[in-house]
Amino acid sequence: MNATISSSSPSVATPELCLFHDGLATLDLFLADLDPCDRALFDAALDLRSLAAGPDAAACIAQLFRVRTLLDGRHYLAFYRVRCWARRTFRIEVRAHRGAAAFVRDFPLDGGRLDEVVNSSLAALAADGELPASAYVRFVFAGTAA
Amino acid sequence: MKTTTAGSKTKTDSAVVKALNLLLADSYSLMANTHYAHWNVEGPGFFSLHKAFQEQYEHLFEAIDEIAERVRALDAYALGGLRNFSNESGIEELNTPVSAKDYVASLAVAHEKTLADALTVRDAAGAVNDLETQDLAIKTIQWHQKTIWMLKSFLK
Repeated sequence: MNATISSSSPSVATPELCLFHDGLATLDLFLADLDPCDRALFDAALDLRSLAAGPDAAACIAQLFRVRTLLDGRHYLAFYRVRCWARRTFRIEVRAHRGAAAFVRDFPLDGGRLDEVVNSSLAALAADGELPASAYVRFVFAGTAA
Repeated sequence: MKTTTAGSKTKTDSAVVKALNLLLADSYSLMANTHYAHWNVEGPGFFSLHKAFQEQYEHLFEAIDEIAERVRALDAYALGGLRNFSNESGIEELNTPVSAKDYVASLAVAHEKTLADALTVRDAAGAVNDLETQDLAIKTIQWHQKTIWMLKSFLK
């Protein structure tokens, strides 16, 4: 199977700075909840913040899952807000092949591993039949979804 | 524009009524989500959460009635319709089973939103010396603050 992952720029998305409606401020609040002395976690969260302002949705999602692993259930509420932000910020595009129309899925709230999200997205595409070898998964920022 | 009771400066299209109707929408959406959590919560904390959620949605049911009746007392009409409540509040509907901790986190976030809008009611009512609405808002604020503390304590 040639399922691949790519991403696209958030240029069209306009993050809101409302505490209750996500935006990058959600990540700033999460950072404020962490102890800077916990270097591994704090650095990973800083990297997540940087990636969230950049063009690479797949890299940002991979970092989100790294942070989740490092947290191991700590800072639950602060990270819950980040997970809600991620669900609203990202979309998953699944295509039978690169020229096919995209089947757009919501980003899962409870995702923990990139390969799991990719596989569940491909499985959803295959629900109506056999999964083509050329099936293709792409993570995008919500404002740029097909 | 109609004036309400004698001596009151509150009017039907006032900031107070708008803030009350938003608080009503928040409270209704939160009640629906709390009821959903009450039905569907699972896991080791089931009994305590099931009971706590019931107490919370029952309290919200009474609070909603008080807020709506306050809108009517101000000679305005209360907002209605589940879709309107959801759209106005912006509180996302819970409609898929999640973990017990996610129910608690989701409700804590919704309580925070409702609390923020109750503060707006308190301030808007204070600005026009509508002490009765302000009293209602303060009671609402106290309850949401206490509930947020309880929910956050569960997550620690």
